[in-house]
Amino acid sequence: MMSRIPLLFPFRVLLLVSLLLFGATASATSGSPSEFIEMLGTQAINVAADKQKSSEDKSQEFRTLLKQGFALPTIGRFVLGRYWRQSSDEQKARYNSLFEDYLVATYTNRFNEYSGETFKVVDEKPSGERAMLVTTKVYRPQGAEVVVGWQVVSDDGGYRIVDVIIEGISMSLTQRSDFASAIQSNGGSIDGFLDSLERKVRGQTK
Amino acid sequence: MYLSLRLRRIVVAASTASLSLALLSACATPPPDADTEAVAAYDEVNDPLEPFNRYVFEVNLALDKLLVRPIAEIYRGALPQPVQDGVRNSLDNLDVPRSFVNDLLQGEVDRAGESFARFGGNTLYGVGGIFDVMKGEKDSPPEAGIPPHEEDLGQTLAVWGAPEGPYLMLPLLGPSSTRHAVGRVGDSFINPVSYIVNNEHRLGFSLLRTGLSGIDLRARNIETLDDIERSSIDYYAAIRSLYRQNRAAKIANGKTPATPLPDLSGEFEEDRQAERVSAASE
Repeated sequence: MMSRIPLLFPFRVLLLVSLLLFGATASATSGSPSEFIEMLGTQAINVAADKQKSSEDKSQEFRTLLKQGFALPTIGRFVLGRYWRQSSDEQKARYNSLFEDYLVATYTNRFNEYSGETFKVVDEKPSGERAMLVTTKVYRPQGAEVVVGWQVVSDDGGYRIVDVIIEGISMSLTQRSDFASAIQSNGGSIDGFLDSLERKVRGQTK
Repeated sequence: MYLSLRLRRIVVAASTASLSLALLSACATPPPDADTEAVAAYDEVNDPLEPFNRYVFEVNLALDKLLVRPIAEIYRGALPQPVQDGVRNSLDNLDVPRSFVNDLLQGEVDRAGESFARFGGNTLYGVGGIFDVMKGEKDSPPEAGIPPHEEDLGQTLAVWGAPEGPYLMLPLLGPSSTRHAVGRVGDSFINPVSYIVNNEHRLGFSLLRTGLSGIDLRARNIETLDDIERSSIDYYAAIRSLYRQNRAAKIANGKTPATPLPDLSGEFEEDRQAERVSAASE
């Protein structure tokens, strides 16, 4: 752990400089990670609960929320793991766009089943070197409440989600395991895997 | 009688033979030592029996489609929610003595006390466990109720330091590990509830309990499993990852993060940095 600090030091200086440069505009959105999760969750519920909107409109709004709230490229890169470094620039670009569609489709489907769940932030604590873990309880109309954790990093005065942890299960880790296995079943071919991912996205949005 | 005994022997012999054949031929080929990343990935999934496990998984999916899921849907459609909750509460209550024994084996005296109080309270005041009167109201202070928890011998073995052993996909019972499977067998002996009915009916009682519990669990997870199947590319791998993380969380009793969370913050800063560099150069 210690050995990483000198390596990251130049990054931090650069970050500080850029924060000073952009600080004036960015500070307007600052708040605590808990407030960020509360706000994002409320917005998502408002979209999901809106009976007037068509599912295409909802899908579009979820995409905006996901892009705002989640560090999509970082998550995508982590989920692809060791295969990210083996990919060409074209493959990376194709993957990034597919991964965004994939997450939008997955979460849109989940939110379409929205049936009056509510949530409450119950905890906020540091996680890892720079991230914060916001813990929420999701109350369902029926059945036991679910503990959902949100790992967030700060981003120019705002925040971005890098992982969602449902009852101790990390979604990023699960997807990484899923993707790694899918690439292996394609004989280690990234292109073959990207085709599978594309079929998955098409199948989900139908 | 003679026929059925003979038939049983044949079935046992045939299944043992096919099982050992399958096990022999079904070991996954480990990657060459030189490919350290592939070796790390192979070790991470902890699934040397993968081809065999995948085969059992396919059989389970077929059985689920033909039998388990339809029964679960009928169960869910026919019984009103309060009745289903009563069934679940009763089954859970019958598992509490098992948790109590394992709490003690793990040296968790406070949690053993909770199990003891929950079992006594719910059995006496919850009409034999049909109502969970001990849980208390949501969000009330802890002294108002005792939330349920579950322990089994597999978790106890883990606390004692036994290794997880290879991942196992059990027929009908689903994802497991060698340690978990051994614990299941042991639990059937140490759970006092196994002994409340006489010898003659013990097996039937235990099968009924497991079967009903399985149907109820399946009924409660129809949408969840559909969602996982729909959203995953490799359903088998997704279930394996979900099971292993969930199991680790149960063993840790929610105290420490069971699976170390991936620290994405460093990568995130690198991404932002790259964006800034490319934005500046444009």
